[in-house]
Amino acid sequence: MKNEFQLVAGLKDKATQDQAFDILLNQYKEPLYWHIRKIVLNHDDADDVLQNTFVKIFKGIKKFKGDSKLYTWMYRIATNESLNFLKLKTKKYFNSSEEMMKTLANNLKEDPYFDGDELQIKLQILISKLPEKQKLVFQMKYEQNMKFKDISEILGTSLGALKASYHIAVKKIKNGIGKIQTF
Amino acid sequence: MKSNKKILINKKRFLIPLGYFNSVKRKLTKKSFLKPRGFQVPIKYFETLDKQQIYNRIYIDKIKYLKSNFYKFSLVAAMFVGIVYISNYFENINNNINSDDIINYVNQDILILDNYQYTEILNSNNLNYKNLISEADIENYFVESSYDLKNLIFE
Repeated sequence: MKNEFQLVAGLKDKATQDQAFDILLNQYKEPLYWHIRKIVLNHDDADDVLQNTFVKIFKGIKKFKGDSKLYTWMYRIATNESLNFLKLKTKKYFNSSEEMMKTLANNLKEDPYFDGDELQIKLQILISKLPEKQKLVFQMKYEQNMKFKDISEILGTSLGALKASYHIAVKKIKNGIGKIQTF
Repeated sequence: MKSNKKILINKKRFLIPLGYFNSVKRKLTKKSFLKPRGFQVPIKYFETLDKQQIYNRIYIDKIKYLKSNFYKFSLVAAMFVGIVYISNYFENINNNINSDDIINYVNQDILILDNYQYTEILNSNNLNYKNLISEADIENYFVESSYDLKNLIFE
C-alpha cells in the first residue's frame, strides 16, 4: 500500500483491513498523539483520546469519501475527540473550561511526563488562556507548522478567519512572554 | 573603513555526503513537527501501542453499548411479545366461538334470549343457520305438524 488511496481502499476491504489498519496506525499514531497531547496536555488523557480516535477512524473509514486528505480527516476526528473529552472533563470536575485549562497547565509542573523549563510551563499557561479556536490554530500553525489550508479543512473555518485568529493568538502570546521576561 | 577583502574558503577541504543537508533538514523538521518541547511519553509507549489495543477497545465498546442498552432492548422485546400475545389471544377468541357453541350455550339455559334476540342472531351473517335448518326440514316440519298457513302467519 504505497499511497493514501491504496491505504483507504485497503481499509475498506475486509480482506486487507487488518494489514491496512496496522500500516495506518504505525504511520499516524505519533503525529496524532502529539496533536492530541497539545490539546489535552496530560499523557494519560492523550493516550485515552488517541485510542478513541483510532476506534472512530476504524469504524468511520467506510464513510470516508476522499473529499479531503486522509490525514486532515483523521486530524479532524482527533481534534473533535480531544475537545469532546475536555468538555466532559469540565462538566465532571470544573466550573468552566478556563478553570480547567488553567489547572491542567499548572499541573504540568508535577507531571512526570513533562520536563520543560519554567518558560515552557508559562508558555503552556498562556496558550491555555487563549480561546479555543485561537489555541488550536496557534498549536497547529506555530508548533506543528501546518498549512493554513489544511488547518482550515480540519477546523472547518475559512482561511481569512483562521489567519486573523492566528495573528491575534501570536500577538497575545508575544505580549504574555514579554510581560514574563520583564519581571 | 569598509573592507572589500573576500574571505577565502576552501570548499574542497571538507566534504559532506551527498544530500546530507536535505536529510538533516527533513529530520529536524519532522522532529519539530511532531514533538513539542518539554513533553515526554513513557518509555517505548509508541512501540507498545498496537492494533490489538484498538480492537480490544472496539470490543469493550460493543459490550458497553449492549449492556447500557440491555434494558431498552428488553423493554422493546417484551412489548413486541406482549403485542403478539394479545393479538393472538383476541384472534383465538374470535375464531373459537362458532354457531354450535352458541346453540349449546343457549340450550343449556345459561343464556335466556327473547324472540327479538333470537331473530338478531339468525339474521347475523356470522351464523350460518341456513346449513343447520334446510328448506326440506322446514317443509317436513309443516307436513308433519298440523299447522296451516293461517296459524303460521298468526304465530
